[in-house]
Amino acid sequence: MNTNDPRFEIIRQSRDGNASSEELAQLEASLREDPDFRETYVRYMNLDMALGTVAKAAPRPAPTALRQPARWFTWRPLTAAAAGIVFGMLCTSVVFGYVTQRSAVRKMPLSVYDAGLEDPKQTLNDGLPSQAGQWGIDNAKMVPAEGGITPLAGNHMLRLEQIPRESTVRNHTSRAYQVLDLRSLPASAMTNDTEVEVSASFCATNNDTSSRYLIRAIALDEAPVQATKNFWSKVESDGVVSESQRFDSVPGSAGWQTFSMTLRLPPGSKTLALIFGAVPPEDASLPASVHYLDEVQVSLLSSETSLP
Amino acid sequence: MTDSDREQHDQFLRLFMGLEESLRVFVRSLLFTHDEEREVMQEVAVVLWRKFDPSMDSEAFCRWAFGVARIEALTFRRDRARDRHTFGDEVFELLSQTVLEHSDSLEAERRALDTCLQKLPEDQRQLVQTAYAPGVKIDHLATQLGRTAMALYKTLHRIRLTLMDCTRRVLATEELT
Repeated sequence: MNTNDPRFEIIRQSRDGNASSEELAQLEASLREDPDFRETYVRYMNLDMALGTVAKAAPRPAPTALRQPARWFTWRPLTAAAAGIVFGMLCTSVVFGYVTQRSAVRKMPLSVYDAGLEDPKQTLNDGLPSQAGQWGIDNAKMVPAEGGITPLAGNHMLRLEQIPRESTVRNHTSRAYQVLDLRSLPASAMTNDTEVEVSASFCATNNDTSSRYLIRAIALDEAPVQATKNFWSKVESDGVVSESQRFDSVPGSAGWQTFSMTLRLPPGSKTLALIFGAVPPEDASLPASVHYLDEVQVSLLSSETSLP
Repeated sequence: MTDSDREQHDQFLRLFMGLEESLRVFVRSLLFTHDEEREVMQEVAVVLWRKFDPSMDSEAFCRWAFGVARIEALTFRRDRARDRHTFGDEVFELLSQTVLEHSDSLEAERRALDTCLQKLPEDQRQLVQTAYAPGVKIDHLATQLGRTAMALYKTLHRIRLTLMDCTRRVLATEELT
């Protein structure tokens, strides 16, 4: 292994989210043409993945203590956590994850701008809003009851348009965005174990096949105006805390279905970006359905003593 | 859950947990970040469980699971294509083959990692432990350490290269003995 090979630097830049389009194209060309480099790249990613697994199982020293002796961690594969796996098979969504015990959790609702999507005159931003207090959309529209679908609450809902799977279409997911400003939260609410719970209700016009929905939450440590600049490149960097979950409805289940997910909020978070989406069926021969979104709720979950 | 369901559940867990790390590195090499890997792995686990056939032996499960992981990574890439650069299908296929061909040696290198971590100088070990902890931002960590983010990224990169070299040497020594 020749670590002086300049392509190692491109691997690093790719891994750290610092590579330009040209550098990523160069990386791709090397992966395609050089089997030895390809193997090296896989080994690098193997080690990177393993280090992430090891660190999860270890107590973290304070940065200021980095130069002092500390207890070291040992290799502990995730197999050890097998007992914590939960399969939720009885509801409309399937959950697979690692469970942590939380005792005495309190829930505090956060203010989502027009959570029930009731103001049809509001300006809907094209894509992610640049500031808190408005909705953003990709291929969506606010509508009253239509085609036999009634809003879950109030008189309006968001229609997520169908996007057929065609090779010329790059983005197949219709989305809605909301940005929350967390700076007004009391400092006591943001502890090391604070989580945010996001729930949203979806409805499909075609219930013969399963529908797939997406909820994603991203915490950033900048104020909304700064956080939403170059947002997508920030989201893909390893430092940003982000959680995304996809939910599948059960075929034949008509009506509104509510899904939720949680994200651990790092202390110092100032902005929470939320993304809600409807994904068309994998099988391109199946008709893409129109979906609706309503009643978005966001709550802060924290230990009993930390919330005001 | 009936006894039959529980038995099927246990059988799935045994097969899945035995393969999880290999699947994870496979997915990691096809995507760009830990977040993407985590999201796709979650979906892979759901699909594997939902479509699990208890009559499969471990070899058949392995083949099937890698196929599912590849499809889920492809699906993810297609859905997110607007967000950032993604590899073309040819490279996707070549990386799949590479991970499958080297799955045994990759696993051996992961096992050798513990030995190599303990050979690192104490400050480097603790830096890795801190930088890889969930939720840690390199920018913040760099500020706390009085360094630039780029310098920290490069230091971590050099440590990874050192560890890669070390795991190779550990495995070569084991083969000789």
